[in-house]
Parts: sequence; C-alpha cells; structure tokens
Amino acid sequence: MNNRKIIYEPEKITSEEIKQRRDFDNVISSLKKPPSPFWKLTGFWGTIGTSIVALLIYNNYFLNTDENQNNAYDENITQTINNQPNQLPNDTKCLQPVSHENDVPFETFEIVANSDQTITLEDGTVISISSNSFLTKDNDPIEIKARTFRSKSEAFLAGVPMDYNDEAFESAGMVELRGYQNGEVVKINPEHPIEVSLSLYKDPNTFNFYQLNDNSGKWTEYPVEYKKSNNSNEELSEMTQLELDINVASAKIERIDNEIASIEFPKREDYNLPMENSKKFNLKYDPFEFPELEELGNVQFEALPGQSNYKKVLQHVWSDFELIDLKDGNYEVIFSNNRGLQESLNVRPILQGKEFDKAFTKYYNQRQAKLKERKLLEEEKEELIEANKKRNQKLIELQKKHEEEIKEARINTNLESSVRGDQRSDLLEASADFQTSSWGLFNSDKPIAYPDPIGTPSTYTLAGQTIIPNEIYVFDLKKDVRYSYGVGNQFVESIGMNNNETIFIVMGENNEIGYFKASSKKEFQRNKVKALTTIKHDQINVDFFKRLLDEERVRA
Amino acid sequence: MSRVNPIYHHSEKKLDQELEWITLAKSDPKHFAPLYEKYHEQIFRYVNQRMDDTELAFDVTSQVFLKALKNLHKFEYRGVPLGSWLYRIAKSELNQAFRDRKAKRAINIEKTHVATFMEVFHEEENKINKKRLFKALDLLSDADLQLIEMRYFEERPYKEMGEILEITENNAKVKTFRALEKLKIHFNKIYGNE
Repeated sequence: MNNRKIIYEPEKITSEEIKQRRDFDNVISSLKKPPSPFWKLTGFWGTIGTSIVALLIYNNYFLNTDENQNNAYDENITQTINNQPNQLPNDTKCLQPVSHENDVPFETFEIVANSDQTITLEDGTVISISSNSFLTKDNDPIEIKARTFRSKSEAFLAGVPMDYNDEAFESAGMVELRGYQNGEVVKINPEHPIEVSLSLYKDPNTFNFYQLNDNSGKWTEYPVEYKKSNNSNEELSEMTQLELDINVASAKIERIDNEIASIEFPKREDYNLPMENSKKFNLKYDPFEFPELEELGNVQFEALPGQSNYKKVLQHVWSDFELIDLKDGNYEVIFSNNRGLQESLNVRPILQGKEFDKAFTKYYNQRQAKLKERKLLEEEKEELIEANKKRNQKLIELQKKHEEEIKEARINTNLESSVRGDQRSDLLEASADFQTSSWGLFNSDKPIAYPDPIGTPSTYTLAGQTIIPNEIYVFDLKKDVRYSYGVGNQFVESIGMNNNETIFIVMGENNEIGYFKASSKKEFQRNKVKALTTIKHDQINVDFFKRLLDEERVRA
Repeated sequence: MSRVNPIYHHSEKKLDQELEWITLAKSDPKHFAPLYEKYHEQIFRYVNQRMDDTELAFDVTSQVFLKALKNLHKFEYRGVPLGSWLYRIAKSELNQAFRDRKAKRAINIEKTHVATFMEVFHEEENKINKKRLFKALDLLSDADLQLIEMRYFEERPYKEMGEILEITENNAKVKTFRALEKLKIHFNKIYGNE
C-alpha cells in the first residue's frame, strides 16, 4: 500500500484562475539569483556540515602527504597516468569496498588547468572540460580520476550502495568522477560545468539518472539527456518512419474510402429515364394543366415500385383519371370508371423516343465520368494498400531484426561486462549526457522492488563455525540487480529471493565472508543451516565475483 | 476541469514557431515568455493532478519553468514539442517535492473517472466499488499509476504519452494496458478479501 491521498471530486480550478497566477517575471528574477553557498545554508553547521569540514581537513592533510606524481602532460593531449587501485579518493566515505586492495581501479588523467580538454575513458565515456571549468587561479595540472562500473560485480566490489527508496537499483552504466589540484579537491565552476557523456550498456528507455550524495550515501535524481545513436537507433528511426508512413497511408485510404462513398452517381430518375422492368403506360394529360410535362417532350408514366395494386389497375377499364402533381417530381394518378371503381397509383414521368436517347446519353456520360473517378480512387487505394503491405512486411522484418539485435546486445553486454576496458557495443550505443559542477558518482538506474521476505530463520556457518551475518547480499542470477540486507533499510532477517538461481554473499560481524547458492525458495527454506563457502581474501577481485555471479557465462 | 491541451496536435508551423522561441530564449531567457504562457496551464494541471496542495502545485510549476530555463541550453530540438521535456522536468520536481515531504502524492479523481473504470471493469457504480477502486489505485506502482492517470484521468493520446515518457507510442499502449490489467487484478482482489 503506497498510502497515497485520494481526493474525490477535487475542487476545480478554472483556466482564468491559473492564468492569474502566471508570473514569468518572478521566474526570470529567480533565474538571476545566485545560489546560496552551501556553508550558508541552514542546517549545514549541523552534524553533516561539521563532518564535512572535519573530512576536508583530514583530506588536505592526507593528500598533501602523498607523493607528488610528476607525470608529463601535454597542453592539449590528455594522458592516462595509470590505474591506481590503492589510491582512492578519500572523500567517498559512503563507498566501502569489499577489499581496499582490490577495489575497482580509477583511470587517472592529468590535464592542463585552463584549457579545453576532452577525456575518453576506456569504455568510451567522454568527459569534456572547458578552459574555465575549474575554480582555480593556479596553473598547476589537475588530476582527474574516473572509473565506470559496468557489472554487478564491480559495483559490489567498490561498495557502491545500490538502494533507492526501499528498492534496489538495476544499473545501465555508472561513473565516478573526482578532481584534484596539488592534492586538494578542485572545485568545478558552476557557470562552466563539466560535460559527461556516459557510455551505457543497456537501452536507457526505462532508466532514470541519479547522483550519489557522498555524505549521506543516498541517491538523488539528476537531470540527464539520454542519447541513442547507433545502428539499432537507425533501425528504430526507420521503424518509426515506417510506422508513420503506414499511419499516413492508412489515413489516406480512409479518406479515399470516404471520397468513394461520397461519389454521387447519376440516378435514372433525375434524367426521366425508365427503370429496368419498367411498369409504364401512356396517359393523355392536359398540356395546359401540366406545362412542365409538355416541356419534357415525349412523356410516358412509370408506376413507382412497391405498389401492389398495379396489376389491379391493368385488369380494369378506366373511363377517367385525375393527375395530381406531388411536387417532388412524382405524380399521383387516380383512375375511376362509371361503376364507381377507383384506384390510385404513384407515378413519375419518363421519356421515350428521341428524348429518351438524348437523356440516356447524358446520363450514360455522367455515369461513365463518375465510374472513372471511382476507378482512379480505387487504384490509388490499391496502391496505398499494396505499399502498406510492403511497409508492414518490412516493419515486421525490422522488428524481428531489432529484437535479435537487442538479444545479441544483451549477450554482448554480458560479455562486455566481463572484459574491462572494452569499447562500446556497436549494437547498442547509448549514452547518458549530463553536466556537473560537483564531483561524485552518477548512475543510470531503475529501481526494482525487493522480493518478499522468505520468513524462514536461518543459521549461517563458515568452516563449521556459526557466524552472525552483518550483511547479506542477494544476487538473482536472472536479474541484473543486487538486494542488500543489513545495510540501508532492509534487515538481515527480512531476506528474500525470487524463485531463480540465487547467490547469497554473507558478511559476518568479524569480517568473515562466504557465500551459498539456492535455486528456489523451497531450497532456501529446506536447508535451515546455510553452510557457507569461504571467500578467501585473495579471491576478492572482480574476476572471482564475475565468475561467481555468472557474469562471464557468455565468454565461457 | 478543462482538458490538457494535447501537445500531439502540434502543426509543423507551431513547432517551427516554438523552435524559434527556444533558440531566442537560449540567448535571452526573456524570450521564453510565450512558451511559459503556452505551457503554464498544462504543466500546472499535470502537477496539481498529483498533489494535495494547490498552492504548492503553483510553486512546483514555477520551479519547473525555472529549471527549464536553467537547462534550456541543453535542450535539443527533436521535432517533439517542448511540452514533453517540461513534463519530464515536472515529474522530477514532483518526485523531489514528495521526497522532501513538502507534499503528499495525491490521486485526484472525479466522478466521471470512477464511472469510466466501472464501465471498463463491468462493475456497478456504487460506494463499495468506488472504495475498492481507490484502494486498487493506491496499490499501483508509481509507474503504473502515472500511465493510468495520463490515459484515463488526463485523456492523453498514446503518442503524447510516449513522448512524455520517452517510449514509443506502441509501448505506451502496451504498458497502459498492463497497468489497467493490474488495476483490475487489485480491484478484484480487494473484493476477494472482503
């Protein structure tokens, strides 16, 4: 239950009321206001603020005692110095690697302080720095440290917290950025932020973007623009174009159908032509009384269809008749005889002789013109239907191809994640483009709900000894997500799993570390004593965890 | 409530005009004024639909435009109205407001919406079913609720939903269908529990 507030029949707000509340000037003036420095913010001088200051003092001391690395640098060329797994930035206290010795290494670059620079990381992530990106007057080189995480193993090993609002994160790509000058953290100029194009290894369609708060260890949403610019994307745009063309053509077909339906074919009655199987007869009407009939010329009368008494009229001899103009082009004839018999028929005048020939030619030509018009429209419609058939066929082919590519890309992603320092996949080239004026960890993620707690209490043993678990990390081998218990808001006791093959990594209160596997919830519940396999200190590295978490299965 | 002006129905001429305003606003934010006027009500209604405090909804709306102006230099025109970008900022600002506990996530539901769901579920419109619907809505995930709100409360076309959510029109259709299915399941389960 999310416990959202339900407001039934809310008070309606009129457009006028909303209009009155427009205040663009206020928005503009807020835009021009400079942001308050963080140390002036209320609350900064609480526990967190004091901690930061203490941390900064510590950092300054610590970093200044580091040996200076006099690596050569060129004014416009960025050079990688080396990978330095043991020299991690110290301002990331919320990142607690499983092993400090075998943490995920940073790529380190030295750049010129006041010059436009572009750094490309091994995975294709691009960091663009402008000449005035740093708040420093010093021309000493700036050291940029960056590392990307492209697998569950790397994020786990580096101790990256992967929980967000009681849900676990699935990542599409993550980068940590740090910058120093002379051993001190260098500030980024908010007016000229650093631009990052983070290489992603998943389609970011359903992913958000977050920055980790170094102090609280919590993720907050961060503005990003996702870009996809690869073959797959070209196909997508082709598919979109095809869909668009199909829609346009369908709309045209509909329009043509309407046009065809609205074609008015000439009616025989409009030309005073008899219907087929016409029931016609002559009447000697008075031309003075009916000049319009006289004007038509050689006129006969035809009984309108659906009159059952027509035969009756034919069976009798009539001595008189009366013709009445019904004013709708039709007439009524009332036949009568001396015996007082009367029959009425509705009739219309029809032409015969030369007048018929003349009228029929007109009718025929008009009908042919309309038929031609309809034929042209039908041909156009046929062409559109045919083109749409082809488009649909192409679309299905592309969709299949695209699905295959996604599958392949996923496989490649798994492969990629097992090979450090590879290039972006040709099949799924996507990036998360963002700007930052603060160093930190940025992550393209989507939150995944924790599984329901299993509810079976377990005892954990390592080398025959019972251990008390401090933290348990649950890796569902079918999902790209890590559920963390004993950290964040999830208790060890509330451990849960999906009904998939799952690896549980258990960390004891004396820093023991071991793991066990369970293929299903039943298996977990059946074995109440979980005998852990020890993970030795020298096993704690990316390769080991990738093998354990089956992140190398494709390569194998 | 008057309908949200669907951005789907933008003519090329309107899009060109919008692009011109955006280009001008990138060099001088004052030129953003016509875009502010154009989208203010839409964005406000979107925000207000999801909040329990109208005043705060106005504040969040201002914040959306402020953020948009701050980030306008990053905006790349892709033939989609600016509105879809503004909606995404609005979504992010709303989440921020909920996280900061400034406001509570609300579902503003009108009688006609209840009637629509009852028709879809083939259920009678009565007090009990209304309560079941409210509970079922509350059980939906944020993502599913978003889809239901957009489609059934705000009556947006799938194309527009796709543009706002950055998914394809088809995907929006499929996801909305699934969200509705889930809502129905919750609705029926609540009945089963009673």
